[in-house]
Amino acid sequence: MSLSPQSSKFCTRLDQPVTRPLKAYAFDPSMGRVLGNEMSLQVRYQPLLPGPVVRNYNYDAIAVHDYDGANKVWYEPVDLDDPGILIRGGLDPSESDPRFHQQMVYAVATETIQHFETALGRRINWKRQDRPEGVKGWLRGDILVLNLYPHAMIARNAFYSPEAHGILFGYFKADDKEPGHNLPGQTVFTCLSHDIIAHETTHAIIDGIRRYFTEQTNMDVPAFHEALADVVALFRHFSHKEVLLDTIRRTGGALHKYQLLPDAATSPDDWYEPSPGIHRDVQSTRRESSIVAQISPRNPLVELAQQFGEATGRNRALRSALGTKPNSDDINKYTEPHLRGSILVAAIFDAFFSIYVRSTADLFRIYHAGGGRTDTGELPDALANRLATDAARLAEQFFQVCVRAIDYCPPVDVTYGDYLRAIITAERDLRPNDPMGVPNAFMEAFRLRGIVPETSSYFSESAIAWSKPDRELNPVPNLNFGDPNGLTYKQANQNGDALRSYLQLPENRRALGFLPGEEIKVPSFHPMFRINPDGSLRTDMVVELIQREDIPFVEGKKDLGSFPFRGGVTLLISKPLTDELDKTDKDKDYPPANIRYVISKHLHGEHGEMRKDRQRHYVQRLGLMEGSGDDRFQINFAMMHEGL
Amino acid sequence: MKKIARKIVKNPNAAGKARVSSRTAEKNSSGTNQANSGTKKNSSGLRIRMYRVGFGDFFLMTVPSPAGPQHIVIDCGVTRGKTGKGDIGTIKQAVADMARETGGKLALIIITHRHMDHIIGFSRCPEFEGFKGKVDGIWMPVWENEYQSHVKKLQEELSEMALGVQNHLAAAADRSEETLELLAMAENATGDEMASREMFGVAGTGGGNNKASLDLLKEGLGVKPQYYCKGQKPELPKALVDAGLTAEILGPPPIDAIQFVKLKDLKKGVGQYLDTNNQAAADPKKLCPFATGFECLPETYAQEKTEEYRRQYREYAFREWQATTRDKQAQEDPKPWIQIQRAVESAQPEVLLTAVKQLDSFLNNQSLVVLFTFNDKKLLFAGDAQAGNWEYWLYDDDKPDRAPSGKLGEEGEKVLGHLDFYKVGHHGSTNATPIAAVNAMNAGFVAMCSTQEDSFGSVANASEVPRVPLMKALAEKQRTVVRSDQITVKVNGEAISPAPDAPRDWSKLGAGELVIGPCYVDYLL
Repeated sequence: MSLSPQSSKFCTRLDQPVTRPLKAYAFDPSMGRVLGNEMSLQVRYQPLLPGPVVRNYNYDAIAVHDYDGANKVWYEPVDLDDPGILIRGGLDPSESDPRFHQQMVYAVATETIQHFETALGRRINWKRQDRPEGVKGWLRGDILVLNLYPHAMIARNAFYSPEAHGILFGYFKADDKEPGHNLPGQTVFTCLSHDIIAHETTHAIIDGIRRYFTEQTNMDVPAFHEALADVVALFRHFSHKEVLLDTIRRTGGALHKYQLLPDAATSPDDWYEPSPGIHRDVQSTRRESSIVAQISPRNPLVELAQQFGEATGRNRALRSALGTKPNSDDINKYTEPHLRGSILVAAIFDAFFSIYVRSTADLFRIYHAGGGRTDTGELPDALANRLATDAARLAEQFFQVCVRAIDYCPPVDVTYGDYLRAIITAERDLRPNDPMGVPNAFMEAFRLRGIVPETSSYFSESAIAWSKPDRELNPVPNLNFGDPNGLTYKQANQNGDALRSYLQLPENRRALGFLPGEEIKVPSFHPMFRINPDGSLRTDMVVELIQREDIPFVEGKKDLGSFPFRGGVTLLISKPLTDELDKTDKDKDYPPANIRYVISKHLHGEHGEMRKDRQRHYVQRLGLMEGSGDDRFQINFAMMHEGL
Repeated sequence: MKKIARKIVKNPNAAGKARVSSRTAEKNSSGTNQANSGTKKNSSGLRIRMYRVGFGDFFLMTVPSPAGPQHIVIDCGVTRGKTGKGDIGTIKQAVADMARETGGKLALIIITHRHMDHIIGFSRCPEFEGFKGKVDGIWMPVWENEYQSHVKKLQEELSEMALGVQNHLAAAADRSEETLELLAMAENATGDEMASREMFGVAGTGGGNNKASLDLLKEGLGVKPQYYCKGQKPELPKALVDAGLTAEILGPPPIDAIQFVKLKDLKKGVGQYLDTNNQAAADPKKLCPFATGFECLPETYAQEKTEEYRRQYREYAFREWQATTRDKQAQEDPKPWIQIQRAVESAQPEVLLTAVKQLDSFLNNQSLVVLFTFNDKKLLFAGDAQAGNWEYWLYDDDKPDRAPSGKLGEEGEKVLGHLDFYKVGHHGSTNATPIAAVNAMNAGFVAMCSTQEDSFGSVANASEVPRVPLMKALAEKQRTVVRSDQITVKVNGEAISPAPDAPRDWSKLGAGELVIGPCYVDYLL
């Protein structure tokens, strides 16, 4: 059945619903039914076909295909428009019914996409393959619809595969000896883990936003992808109200504690007493009790993919937001993407918890002044509620900061330092009068973990933010900013032509720092519609421009192999003001739009040479000198995950 | 001091010996190099003999000493590779020659790492058992140390996994080139040819496996092996010390510098995949996650619906799997769900490919890298060391991060700038001889590469071993590259010709002599 609104000559057409309620696990099946683990997600309403398959032509569409590659069978697809399902707000959580699995994968992926789009201020699209200049239309490597395969394989893994145009989720038997909260040998489904779905969907989304963030040019690149995927999944935890409230109660409001107070304890001696301070070494042992209710559980908010971690014999969650204590040593030590990624995750959460502590300090002072105690696990409901609201709002804000910053990163060869600069720039650009000092918290947290920008000369906010163009750039004529639902095919072609003709002027190429001879590609241009702090709408366009050089591993010896060395700029272009629009014929000529930011990674100059050497070195170290073609430098997410 | 070289000159094996010296090198009509006798005197009396065994290393280094020549065996193995052509069947003959030459006595055996193409000979050739009690020392990389439980466990896991890959692939129906390459790598890691024996028409010389070789080396020769890593001072047997030989260990990095060998938790990466897949293959019912009632055919999803609904379904659900005018492959196969099935299934062998490659380079990176010095002659035996192993001693910076400038450290420059001999790493693959190293190497030395072309990689993918452009780069600056597959050898009276694409150019030989024997080539320096 299709839910298209009916029309009749007797009454008005029914509005399309805004959201569709769907049930899902807040974490995963191992958490049982406690604490709102079985939650109802309000995902945006889209017309659906069985699968679920999104029935529209948007570039962010998804389709669930339940093909089991291990057993070589298809499973019956769920029809979420079935009245029997609609009336109960989606199927109830069940491990034994694949239709619930399909529903959950659809719901969580859609929720993740939605959140990204809200933060970015635009609709996303999936990966587009590198195409020869001037080629329009679909190519085989383009992902039009992101395919989700909830039971693709028997494996302790789930991964985004651009080749399969989607995400493959595995299922497997839990460890026989140390299954954690699972039965030994029970089947564990990665597609039932909220964290895993959000994590993998994030990989697909970032690959759609930035084509070259999967090209391994330095050791931060794969780690960055992993870190962001974890950050997205972790910040979602703070939107689960019941869990958040419970955690606040059990930590006395200190959300960053690694271990919670137990359900019940006969005497304070049974409690795990964490030492003061924000950062906790995740290796710290906990004191065990013989009574289950007295065992201190770990803080679910900072733990990632608990069931998966336990079922694979780790006896703990897969990863945690709280890494080691801040130190500037790890960044020089860890090259493995997950380990290196966890440094960035920890830095972001350091900043988050700092702001949380800072912004709630007054509440605690008032509470303590009235004789209240925070060490007993008995926070009053009103205070706990208030803290939960603050924490949830802050988490949403931090998520947005982290996601928005992607649009302020250079288009190629991203480093952690670039990301810090992007965060600071985005904050200054969008919320220049932030009273909480979010940029400062980020800078401090990153600095303590040894993450510093490569090219800025001072560690001050203004020096770290990308600088505005140092001279007047020619504005770009004829850009069409479309509307928030995305560009039409025609509008997109118009913008592509406008940018290409802008780049044909040698003067413009020079001003943007490009080499004169090489071709400049335009992998993406996206209008963005964001809300200013005063509530007004701001319309910009983010554009990627890229040049490529083929660099031999050894100067003068091309036959020993070469690698693609890319440079380019991210442009942020403002939509011209309305009065300027009025002066022109809107359907034909658009007034020139001003370039506000030029965020660049050049091919030449001192920094370009450094980057070239670094990349040459890094890919050789990865053993990628052998072989031919650019594809070999792509991240292989299946292997990166080593079990997610 | 007795000079071994003289012995060879006096007693040339007329049937197979040809020599080229630094002074004259002429080509006769058959293309083999002939040399005049009475050439430049060997200044040190050292001899390095590279046996032509195919794709594998088997070196015999002979050092003159007051007590007569002392012999060092460095690796002894061969593997068939993905084409089955890697093992040319000469290893038994080569070992017999070595046993004769050494009189059944060895001063030292060096095992660079536990790959079949470096160790299978020890269990395949019965001669080695005869060496019991007649070997003064055995060196192995620190990774082989039985007394460090975590190292032992890791090695066991690796072997187990390699065996898993091998079984898994052997059972697979598909015989693509990729599968063959994976299988060859897995076979190399276990030394067990059973799993893949039927795959090639060519039988290897057969016998032995890696475990048996290691058992013999660790327990069967009557001498306790020494396990080394960079930074440790190796203990040379007395006879070699008396001969004036010194040795320095450059690799592998110590175990706590694990990031240099890019240790990944392979067990979790590939192991899990294999475990579960093997489980599923053994008893598929165990891992059917849902009741059979849920199974369906994609064709019937929307069968009871209207034609318009079915059209919509195909349009939205299979948008990019629909045949388009541009895509020929899709046109040939109009059923979109079949394409989805293929996409899902083919996403997995790639995982295996990467994983097996990682396993391969992980083992290669364990290689013991030894720099010998004798009479001011410097000889570098690099095993199959790859980037992580090299960079630990090549650069001063002790971080894997390494100076982006790529500038070598003092030690790296010193070692590479004064070489007289280099055993080319990993049979000539690009990943085993860093370009920074080639650039830093001095002029005029001899590089020996024991290899057999068309065993691994492909020219089309710029991954052939040995890599031709690398061989060319090595041969610059008046250096001489000697490949084992450049010479003719005889097995049971049958001649095995040089590899067709291995042109021999020894005309630039600066010092010493090259002498071709029945199954080897000697470098006298």
